[in-house]
Amino acid sequence: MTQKLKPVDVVVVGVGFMGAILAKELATEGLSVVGLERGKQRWTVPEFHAPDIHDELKYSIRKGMMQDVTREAMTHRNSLTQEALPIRQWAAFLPGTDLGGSGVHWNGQTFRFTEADFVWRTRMHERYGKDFVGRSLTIQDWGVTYDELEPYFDKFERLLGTGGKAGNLNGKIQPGGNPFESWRSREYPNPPMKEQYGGVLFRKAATEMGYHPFVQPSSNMTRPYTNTEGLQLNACNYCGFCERYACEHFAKATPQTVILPVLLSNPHFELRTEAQVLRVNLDKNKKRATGVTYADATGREFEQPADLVIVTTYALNNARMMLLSGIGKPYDPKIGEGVIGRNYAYQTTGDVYVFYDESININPFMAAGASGTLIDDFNDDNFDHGPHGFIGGSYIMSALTNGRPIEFHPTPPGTPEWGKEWKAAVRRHYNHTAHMLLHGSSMPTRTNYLDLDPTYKDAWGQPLLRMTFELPDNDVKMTQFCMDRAVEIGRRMGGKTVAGYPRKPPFTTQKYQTTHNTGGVIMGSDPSTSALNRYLQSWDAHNVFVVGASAYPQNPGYNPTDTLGALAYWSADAIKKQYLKKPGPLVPA
Amino acid sequence: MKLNRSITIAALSVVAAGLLLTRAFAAGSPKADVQRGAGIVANGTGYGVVACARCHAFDGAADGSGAFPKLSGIPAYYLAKQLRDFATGERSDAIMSAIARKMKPEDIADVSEYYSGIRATPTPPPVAEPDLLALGTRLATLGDQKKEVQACESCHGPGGRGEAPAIPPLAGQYAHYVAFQMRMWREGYRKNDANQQMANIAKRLSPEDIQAVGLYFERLSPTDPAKKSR
Repeated sequence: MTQKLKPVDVVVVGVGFMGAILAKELATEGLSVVGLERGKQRWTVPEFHAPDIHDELKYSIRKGMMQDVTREAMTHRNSLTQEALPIRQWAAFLPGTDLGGSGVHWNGQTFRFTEADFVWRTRMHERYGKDFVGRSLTIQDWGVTYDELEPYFDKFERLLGTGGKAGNLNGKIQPGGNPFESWRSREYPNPPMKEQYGGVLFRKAATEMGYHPFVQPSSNMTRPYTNTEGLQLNACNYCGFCERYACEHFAKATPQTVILPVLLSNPHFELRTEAQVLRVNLDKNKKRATGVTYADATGREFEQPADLVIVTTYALNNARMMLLSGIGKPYDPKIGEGVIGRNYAYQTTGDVYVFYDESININPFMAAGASGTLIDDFNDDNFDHGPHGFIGGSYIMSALTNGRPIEFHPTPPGTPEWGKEWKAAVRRHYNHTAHMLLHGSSMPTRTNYLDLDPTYKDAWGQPLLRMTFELPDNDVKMTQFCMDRAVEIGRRMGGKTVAGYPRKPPFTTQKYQTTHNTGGVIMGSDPSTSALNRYLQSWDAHNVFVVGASAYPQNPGYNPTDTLGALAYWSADAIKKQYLKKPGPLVPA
Repeated sequence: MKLNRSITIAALSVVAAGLLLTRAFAAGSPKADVQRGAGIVANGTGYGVVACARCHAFDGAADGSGAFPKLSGIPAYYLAKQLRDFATGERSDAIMSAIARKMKPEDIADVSEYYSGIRATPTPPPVAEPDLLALGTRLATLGDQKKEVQACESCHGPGGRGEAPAIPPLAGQYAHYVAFQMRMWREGYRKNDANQQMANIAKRLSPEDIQAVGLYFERLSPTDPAKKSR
């Protein structure tokens, strides 16, 4: 028996970074907003404090902050002909749960996508021709441009307190920054992070080779900062426990440190935790949402009517929520039609280890989640792909986010994987190994997509999400090319041994790569190839907005969060300035 | 009586220092001369560095007034940095600045090494109001969400044992001294840490908060330097 609750203006499904931003913007307008979070409340005080928050076994190995796979897993297969099986332990990617979502355990790496990224299909066709790109890659333009989003990038970075050095101020290239970045209207709110010693060695080698190294933009505070919501953050002390962990110092920009306290003090906002949203409900014409149905911690079902439904449940769950709710036509890979589940993409990563002799001390434990030094020379639209036969690219970054004892023990190729010799090699190399990360683009294909699993169900009896994903040939070529460049840099850095591990098929869910899952509910200008219009509004139900990296038509070689924050503010602005005045489609279909 | 006790402690300390010296060489650490450091602590130098023991006591316990900190068991790296900061003006103090300016680099290294390896005679913990102690315990171990202040122990270590070498232990330190330093950070007289971390925190704490955390830490037992990996 579902209990029907009193209607509200807005229901926000999932209270993570994007949910908090949308809820705050709309509650400030005076709308009654209910935030439904499937997980529990958690705060810097009393939940995040040393030494417990540095429990590597609990958080890194047993994935203490991630979606509970015993209740809500997902399945994966590499191709249409395989049977998908449930992922029983998160490894490749780590979707978060509880208040603040994945925004609590992120690393703080804060890159903007570029002007080219938002018009990717047009740009690639113009530069290399349609035949070069080929028909197997289903790349698309976003329907929104960088210039339109710039003020919203700026707004999000000032919320976060991002530290960095501008490389392009209003079109003028700045020394010390990334010369390949798109224009920004002003400097970062905070200075860049301190460079790690591996980064110093990398910078020297990369400069000698004619590349353009710079310090990674970071939302780990580089000095005390009061953000645009009036919240105070403390300076990071480089403890090396960012990703997979919560920050105990109020030093990482997370929903808890940059926005949630302000949201929760707004009388128009109500937070309900342990509220598992089962579906968005539609009216009988299936053109308008009437609210959502959720189950509380005891399993009791409630219907929450609302005029506006904002779905911010993480990219993968957003696609599933749309499929479970029957909003938008599910994508069919056999005919390439339909929109929900379309253009699922990932991030093509790789690792390089540079092994030094014992005179070079790297001190890997002196680290933050975003204290790398990198080059952007082989990423994005920044070099001529003509001779190489692929599109996209990777940044190459000297970075160690930690030197934690269970996970960090680099050994050179040929070292036994266990026993006395392995232990000796770990001792020998622990403090004398630099690391480079390849962080590369992921291009969509016709057969990489998301749908509902025909066999497996969650704890509430609903079908799990099924991911069909294999590394596209384009990305395999791309990552090998970038790996060759990275190994050259590693040799120049003076390593005795340089070992590169490029990503190769088959894609496996059992090795950590990155939690940058994108697509599935993509934005665009054409309702037949996108689920959302340029304001993240559903083409099919105008009072449903879906905010997440699920909106990305393809995934460039940069970390997704900054662009996501910009899109969230862009979407919120469109709702406030246009939709509330005249509810209906903001773009004619 | 008092004299005899001091002599006994001094004798024990010299034995301890000797052991430390052996260990320091065995571990191949920098060649700080602990015995020379002990000499400076006890007698000062001929060029105007007064004996540290006059205020901090030979065993580093100071005098309990809270005007002078306990130095026993504090990492040599941290002590040496403070002395250098006093000398350069990074940190300023009416007494210490003048003394530190007269110290040679090896004096700083030797004295710091000496105090880092000494265990002071424990002093009885101060009496504390239960409510005040509860407040101190909460701030030190959990922090304060509203004030956006993290737990002291998130940096200063579980039980206030410090995070060597850069972050000093607070366990057993005099509450008066901790409170005094917190006020120095808050008023902007002290600013010699990375990124103004302590000033930032001290500004958000009330006088009562500061008194409470001081009491919490003074009541904890300092870590025995002989048992601590350094």
